[in-house]
Amino acid sequence: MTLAGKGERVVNRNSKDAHPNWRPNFCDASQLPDIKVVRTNFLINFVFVTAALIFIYFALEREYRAYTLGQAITNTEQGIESAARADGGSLKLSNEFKDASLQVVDIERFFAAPLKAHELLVEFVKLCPEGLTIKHLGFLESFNKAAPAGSKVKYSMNLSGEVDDPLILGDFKSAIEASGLLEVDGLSPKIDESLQGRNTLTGIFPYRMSILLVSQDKAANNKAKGGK
Amino acid sequence: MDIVLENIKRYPLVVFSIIVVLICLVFNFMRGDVIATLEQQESDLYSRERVIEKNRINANGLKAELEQLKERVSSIDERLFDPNKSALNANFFYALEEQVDVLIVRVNQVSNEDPVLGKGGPNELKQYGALTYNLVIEGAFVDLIGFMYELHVAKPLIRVADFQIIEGAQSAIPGALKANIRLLVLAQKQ
Repeated sequence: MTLAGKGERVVNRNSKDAHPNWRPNFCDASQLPDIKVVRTNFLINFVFVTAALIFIYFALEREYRAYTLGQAITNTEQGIESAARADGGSLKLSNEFKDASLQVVDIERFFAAPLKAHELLVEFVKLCPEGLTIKHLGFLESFNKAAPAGSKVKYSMNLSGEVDDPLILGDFKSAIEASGLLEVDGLSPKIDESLQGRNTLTGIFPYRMSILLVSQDKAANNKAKGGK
Repeated sequence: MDIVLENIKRYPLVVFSIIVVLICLVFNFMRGDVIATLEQQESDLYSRERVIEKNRINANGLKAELEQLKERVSSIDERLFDPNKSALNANFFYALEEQVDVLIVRVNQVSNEDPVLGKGGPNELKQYGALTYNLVIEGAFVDLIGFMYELHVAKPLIRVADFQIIEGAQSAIPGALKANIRLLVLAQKQ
């Protein structure tokens, strides 16, 4: 039911058009000037131009670096080229030296023995006490080819003779050990002596002595084991 | 389409910037590894330069040292036994009788190579060979030592490897000691 009379427009308060535009907006927003404090145009341009400048900067920076590196490489190459001839000569000399030094190394190998025979004999005789005679004296250098790799040359000495008093043999052994005569090139002597039956006619004792030159590490180990 | 054209007209700087960025990206794609390549090249060159410099320092006085070394090596070569001249080699030992008062009973050249200096030995010789001799000599103890000393200082390079000195052996010289000596002589490589 309505209270309006005929010809009057009836306004339905519940409908969406309860308050229609009383003044229509005919503005074309795209044609209106930008009146913001910072214009959108400026912002967009600024962002893109800045990005472009950053890209240009990095591209130029890389090219400049490449240029300076290229310069440095050219200079270094020139330096190397000028030094290459002298270097070639040095290398040739070095190779010649290396070849010649192999022969010297061989000489060292040839003479690689801890003791010289004549010196050993002289020093040994000096240590020989009164009352002890040596009837046989031997020095032996040996190497077992079947030994494992890295095995060393073995050196040993054998003596035999006669001694007036067994104590003299002990003194002789101590004298050899104390002299350091056989402590050469990391070797030290392991001495074993033995007396044989006394000669009843002469009263003297035949003896035998064997000396094995062992590496000092091995000798120290043996001593440690013996001490326990 | 109209909107795009309109925006292009409206933002010419943006369009230009986008083109520049695209060009930069393409450029970066094409020359992106140029720095790494150049740095590697520079690093290699510096390494080479350092090696050259090190060689230069090491080569200081090398020529003079090489001359000295060559002289020594050639003097060694002159002192080597020739393995093909057995008689001449043996005669060298007999000739020592004139210098030391010993009797040389026997000089035997051993055909087997020395286990220490031979192939596979701990002191294997690469450039030279070694001849092994067994000598039997007789004489007084002092003369035997003298003989060994003469071997040590002789022109050929000789080393006494083993020896046995025995008293009381039958000898042509009364009261003399007998010595069996195994010695090694540096020789030309066969």
